[in-house]
Amino acid sequence: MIGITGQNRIPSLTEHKLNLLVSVGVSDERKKVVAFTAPYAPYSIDVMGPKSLTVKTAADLSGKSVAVNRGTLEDTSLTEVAPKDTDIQRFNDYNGVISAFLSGQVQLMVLGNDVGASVLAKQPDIEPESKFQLLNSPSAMAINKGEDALLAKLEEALATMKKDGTLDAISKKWLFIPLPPEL
Amino acid sequence: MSPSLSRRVLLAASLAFAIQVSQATFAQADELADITKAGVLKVGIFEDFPPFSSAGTDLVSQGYDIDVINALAKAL
Repeated sequence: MIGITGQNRIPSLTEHKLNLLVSVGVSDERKKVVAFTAPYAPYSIDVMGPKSLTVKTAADLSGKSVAVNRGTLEDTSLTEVAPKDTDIQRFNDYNGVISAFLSGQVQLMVLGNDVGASVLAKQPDIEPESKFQLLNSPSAMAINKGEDALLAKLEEALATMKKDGTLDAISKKWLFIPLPPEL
Repeated sequence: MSPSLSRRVLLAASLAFAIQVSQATFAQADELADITKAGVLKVGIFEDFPPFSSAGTDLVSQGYDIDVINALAKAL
């Protein structure tokens, strides 16, 4: 395993310094340069709230207070769909968002499932859960184009890991949610 | 009537050519064979992307991606 940054990772693959990239968002632009496996990890932006609060769609945000990290993709995704009378409270970092939510200063918060997992890990009494998703973009693995034997082998291994519960266990261990059925 | 010698030679030659071409393609692009032979799968990971991959308290990388990669490496 080799540490890489977002900027150099696709070149590192296409220059054959690496065989495989993980946590890659699938896009048509990237499909021109690399080959993707089936998705293997959930990645989403969620509106999270306590179990006791019923919120199912963006319309349900009407009149409610929602914390979000200012200027992030979460912020733009929320602002796009929230009704005008939603009380959006913007914070300068994730700690601000999370403590506003856990202290009851706001009713809901918007987080990516990566940061959301850190909240679920604490098992707060209000039992936070995802109410609905503003973005659902499961991650896939990427390899070089034309590597059909490697692609077939990876697909086979991933299919087995989905079937035998390995991926579900990994999802519960790190994200505190079961593997979504669409994966 | 059996095919003429020239036809059979031509057929054999084109078969040989087809095999060579497929072997050439195979050798040029078969990372799976290289990985299996070397026993090494080179995977690029993020160093600071918890809980998918980040350094644990012992500085060893841990997370969703790390567990998936380790399971994959066994399967390959």
